[in-house]
Formats: sequence, C-alpha cells, structure tokens
Amino acid sequence: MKYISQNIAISKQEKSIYKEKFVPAGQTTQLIVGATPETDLKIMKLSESLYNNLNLKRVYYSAYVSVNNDENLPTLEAPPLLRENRLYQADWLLRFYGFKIDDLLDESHPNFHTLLDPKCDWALRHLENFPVEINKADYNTLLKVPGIGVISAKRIITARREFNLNFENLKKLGIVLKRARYFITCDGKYFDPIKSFNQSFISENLLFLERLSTHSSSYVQTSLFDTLPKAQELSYNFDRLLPTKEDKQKCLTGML
Amino acid sequence: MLNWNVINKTYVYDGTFEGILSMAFDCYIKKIIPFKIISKNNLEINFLDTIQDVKTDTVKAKRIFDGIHKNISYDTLYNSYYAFLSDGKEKELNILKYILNGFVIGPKINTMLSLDFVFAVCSMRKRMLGEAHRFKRFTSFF
Repeated sequence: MKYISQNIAISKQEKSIYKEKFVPAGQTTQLIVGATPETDLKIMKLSESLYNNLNLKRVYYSAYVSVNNDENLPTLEAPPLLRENRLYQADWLLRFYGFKIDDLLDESHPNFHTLLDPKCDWALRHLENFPVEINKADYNTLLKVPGIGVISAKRIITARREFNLNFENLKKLGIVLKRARYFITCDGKYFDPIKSFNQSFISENLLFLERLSTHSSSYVQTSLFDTLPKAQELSYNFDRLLPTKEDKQKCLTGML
Repeated sequence: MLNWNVINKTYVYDGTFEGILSMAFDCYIKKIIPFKIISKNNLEINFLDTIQDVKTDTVKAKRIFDGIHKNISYDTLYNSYYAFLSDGKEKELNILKYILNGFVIGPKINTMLSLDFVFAVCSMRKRMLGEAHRFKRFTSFF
C-alpha cells in the first residue's frame, strides 16, 4: 500500500513527462467486519490513518458472512449488517463532513449506537454546539447538523443569500427536517412543536421515531386465512400506537 | 417578486421553446401572467377555461432569447431550456415566471431558491440532466 501511494505521488509530478498515470483511479481496500472482536473505534482509526497517510480513495467494509462451519472459524448467527452500515456512515463523516474519529468515538464509547446514526449520536453528546442558526452558520457548521448533508448545506447557503429562510422554505428546498429540526433555529426560533432543548427530550423523540419505524416494519399483509392463535403470539409493546393484528382481523370479520 | 395581474386565461402554445419565449414577450409587454399554459398537443377543452392561442413569433423569441443572456445570465437560459426539455408538472408556467422575474430581478434570480418557481425550474433541470445521462450510459452498451 505504501508503495502504491508513493508511486501515485511520483506519477503526479511526472504527469507532464509521461502521458499515462500510475494507478489513475487511486487505490482502495476492504475490511471484513465482525469476524474478530475489534471495536468500531479500532476499525475506524485504521481507516482514518489509511485516508490520511496513504491517500486511499475508499475503504470498503463488509460484514462477515460465515459460510463454513469449522471450529477454527468464528460462527455468527447473522452477518452484522447494521454495524457495516454504521461504519459506512462514519466513513462518509470522515471524508466529506470534516469529522475526526476521536470526535465520534472514544474509549468509553468504543462502538457506534445501534439506534442512532453516528452524527446524531455525536450531536447529542455535544449539545453545546447546538442549536445552529440556519441563516448565519457557515458551511462547516451546517454540515455537522444531523440530517443536513453536503447537498442540503450548499442549497441552504445559496438560498439564504437573498432571503432569510424559515422552516417552510427549508421544507420546500427539500431538506429533511426529521432529525434536523431538533438542532436548528430559523431567525432564532425553534421548530414549532419543540418545547425544550435538552438531551433527554431530543434523544427520546429521535429514538421514538426509530422504534416507530421498526414497529411498522413488522406489518404483514392480512388475509382471510390468517389463523387467530398466530395473532396472539405477537405481542407489541407499542400496541397503543398502531392497529394491531387483532384489530385488523376484527375489521375483516366485523367484530368491532 | 412580480405583482403582475394573473389573468383568468389559459394560453395555448405550439409546444416549442420559441413558443414559450414569444409568450414571455407578450406577457412582458402587457404585464400579465396567464393562469395556465398548455401545449397544443395536450389540449383538453373544458367549459371553465377561456382559451387563447399564442402565435409563435421567431422575432419576439429571438429578442427574449438575446435579452435573457444579456440582462440575466447564461445559467438562466440553460436552466429554462433544460427545464423545458423535461416533463415536469406545469413546467411552462414555472419557466415563464422564472424568465419574467429574471428580467425584473436580474442575475440574482438563480440564487433565490426559496421562490417556488425557481426551485421547480432548477429541480426539473437536474432531473432532466440525470435522465439524459442515464440514457447516454445505457446506449454506451451497444
């Protein structure tokens, strides 16, 4: 790897002499995640140093899938796909959002949050940087708001040159306020239903959204031939929020 | 923002970019904005709309065309043409408003993304270019 990165640098200098570049697409590598007990912190430190020292284009992460069963091989029930996703999210934060891995993780939190994405998690632990005023904050500060990415931040910056933005404008510009609304102000005002700005309130709300989405994913297409005992097996914690399977069956059979 | 009269008429044009430009010329002279614009091909006659045909005049279109990149910017011209090529909802009305406002506001119009029609035109352009790119990549297989 060191050889390749040195030669890329050399070929850049020799570009005027030779027409063909050495490794024109840059180099990448792949890390298999989940087979060994490394923490996310260790993995991300490695990829950060690869980006900084060897100028890698990309580091790919893939979840370990156990194909063979052998006593020498680690056995996993399912490949750690969520962890892979979190690593990619953190990877993007490193490359495009100006984060350092020491901001995102430390020895006391060596792994990423399972329910919140890395940026949200970071923002909740560093609430002193928030709320961000949309009409005044610079590009790098906007990028650190959860839910605002590169495209949204650029759009906000071009749009606010002429007019002050409010939440309605933001919605029209296609900026997703699902997470961002807890961390921003427009002209000094919070998003309407937000009453208080503290960690427990925000994290409760964000986690509530997460749980709602996981809950709704357990929906099944109802059919007339669903057996009743099956419905009783599934017991929801959140059955107050959404119609349960029993309700739906009552709708079908007219027992409401 | 323009405070021109929105007249209760449906303009019908012949489905070309010159048609929109010459319509923009007429609207600019009379200081009016039509309620709706339909191309001749998609015309559906109903009782409620008062329909007015707009003739395509290449001289008028040329004047607007030159006026846009002289008084507004090249970007505006590109944005409106690419948006015209797309099949967005109410693309004609958005383009018309975009051009007319552009003449009043000047090159700043391109950064006023919080105006509905500007954002609509920009997103139509983006979608159209993306589609064109995908088609080009698709044909590169053959």
